[in-house]
Amino acid sequence: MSGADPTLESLPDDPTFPPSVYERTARLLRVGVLVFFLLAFVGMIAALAQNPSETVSTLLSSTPAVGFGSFGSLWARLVVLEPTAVITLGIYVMVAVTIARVVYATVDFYRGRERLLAALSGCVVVLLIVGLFVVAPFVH
Amino acid sequence: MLVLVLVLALLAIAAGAGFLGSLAGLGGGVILTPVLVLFFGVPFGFAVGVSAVSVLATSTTTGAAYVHDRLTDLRIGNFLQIATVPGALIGATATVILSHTSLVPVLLILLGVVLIATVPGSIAMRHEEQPPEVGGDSLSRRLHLSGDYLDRVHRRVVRYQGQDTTEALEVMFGAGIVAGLFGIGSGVLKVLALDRALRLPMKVSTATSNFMMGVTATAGVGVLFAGGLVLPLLAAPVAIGTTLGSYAGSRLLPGLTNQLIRWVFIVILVVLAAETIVRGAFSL
Repeated sequence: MSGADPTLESLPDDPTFPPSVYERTARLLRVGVLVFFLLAFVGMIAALAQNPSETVSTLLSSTPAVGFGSFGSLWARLVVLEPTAVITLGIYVMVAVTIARVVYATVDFYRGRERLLAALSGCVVVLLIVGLFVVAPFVH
Repeated sequence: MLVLVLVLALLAIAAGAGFLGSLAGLGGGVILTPVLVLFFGVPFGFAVGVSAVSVLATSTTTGAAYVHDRLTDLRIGNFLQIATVPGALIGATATVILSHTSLVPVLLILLGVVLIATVPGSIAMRHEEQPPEVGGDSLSRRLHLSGDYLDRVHRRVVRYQGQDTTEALEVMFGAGIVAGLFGIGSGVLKVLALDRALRLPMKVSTATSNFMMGVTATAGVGVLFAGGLVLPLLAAPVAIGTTLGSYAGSRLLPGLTNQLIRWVFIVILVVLAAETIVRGAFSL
């Protein structure tokens, strides 16, 4: 009986999203998670080791936050291996992976000759970039 | 309290939130935000910033597993983002405008009432393992909003067809606004749109909701960063915990029945609705 069980290969193919697209998207997300996890973990351990007696109240009143897109400021802090900058870099990686997967989808829709869906997906990419680099600084 | 103690506590709590979130299609932020505020005295704005990062972590982690297992519907998820992302940007901007008014508590109470109103409908579908096989609306057929997934419990390939696309888009737009307003993934509304409007199987609904949440959260994260609300040393343990918890949940979900996942979702929905109303009432 178990020999007749269906597998992932039993699923019918969507010409726009064949199994290779699922594999590629899953790989992108896995790499993103791994890189983020490593950066966040290293940054967190380094921050705790640097100041083991720090209290929550001092953390809430003193931790500097970097505005999104302040790459120069982030780079300067990374050069001196500031732990919170390492964590911030990890968060940036996750944001970049998220945008990349929407870009992938736009390309896949276009290749599948689904122009309407490609255009809609392209609009999402534009909106994300506008949100990060136009709306966010405006709000700031 | 020492930061070290808070970090260890957050790791454990976030792992639990990520586990439940990955099963129910939620980001975990709805559990973490009140815990941070009520039990650790973290200001609401910082809690929202941490919550948004945890949503990103859950979405990316579960996305890797569910996309690989082809439980996530890439076509439907990518299509519906056209409604959630503008909603999230409007919501995030509205937060800035409304932050100096007393409207936010009223909106919270309204959201809670709306969530409560959806509970009877979800309970009515409690025995439904697979949605009925009926043709979708014209937009759904035109955009091929249909698919198949491998149900490992019932050992068969299940075919589904999106039903009410317009209603799904409307709910997704609302989900985006709520996500932007409160810095959450709005997974609960996304699952409702996928499950109730599009009539997708529950596993596909939660997996696709998890996939979409990261994109909605990204739209709001920039605003939160700009507002100085993302504290890296708070965000790291929460994101690490949710990553571990959601990974465990994503390994478990394919082996569960749709009915059990629906029950998990209903329980979280009721708790969340009550929490939202109470939080709004106390803020008035």
